[in-house]
Amino acid sequence: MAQGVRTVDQRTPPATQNRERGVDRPVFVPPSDIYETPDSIVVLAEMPGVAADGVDITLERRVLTIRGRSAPSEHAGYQRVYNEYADGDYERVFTLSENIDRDHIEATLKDGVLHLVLPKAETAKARRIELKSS
Amino acid sequence: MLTLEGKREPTLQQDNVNWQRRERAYGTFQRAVQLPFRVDAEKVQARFDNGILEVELERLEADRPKKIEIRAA
Repeated sequence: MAQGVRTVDQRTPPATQNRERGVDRPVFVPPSDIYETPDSIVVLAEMPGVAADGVDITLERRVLTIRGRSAPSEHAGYQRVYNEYADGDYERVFTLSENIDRDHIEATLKDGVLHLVLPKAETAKARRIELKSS
Repeated sequence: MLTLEGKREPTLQQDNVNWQRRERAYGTFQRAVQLPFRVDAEKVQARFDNGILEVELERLEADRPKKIEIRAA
């Protein structure tokens, strides 16, 4: 069981997101791994085709939003014969409990995988309680 | 036949890790694609960018469609 820090997925309505940006591209939910260490929460989000300048991470109050924009693939002179992987953007929203040290969040992107380390605020870390022998 | 093989390494983990979501796949994978024509094995280009692999194959010269002229009899 998580100790004091929770992540909750929020459903984002893709249709309104597209209308706001005025672009008709599909928005996918990136497959993510989330695990908790004693000191932090780590999020690994897979967003193939997204470069460092296409990533947008925002934390507003307790809501963490991860967005990735992928460059549309252009292949001049080629005809698409088979399509399994679609060009699109990525978005996922999590609600965190308030025990995150916002000033020390680390984010790295490698091979389309976003690695996000959210350190727990001091109050969230488990404390050992020593027994006083009487 | 084009065969692609790869391996995804799991990220380093410490012992006391509490998983909240596990959606990504790890381990080895393989995929074979049947090509519609013979390709020149000497002229293959492969690019890997942001997690997307792009393999560009050139059709073998001898395999290209040729226009056949009809001789008037």
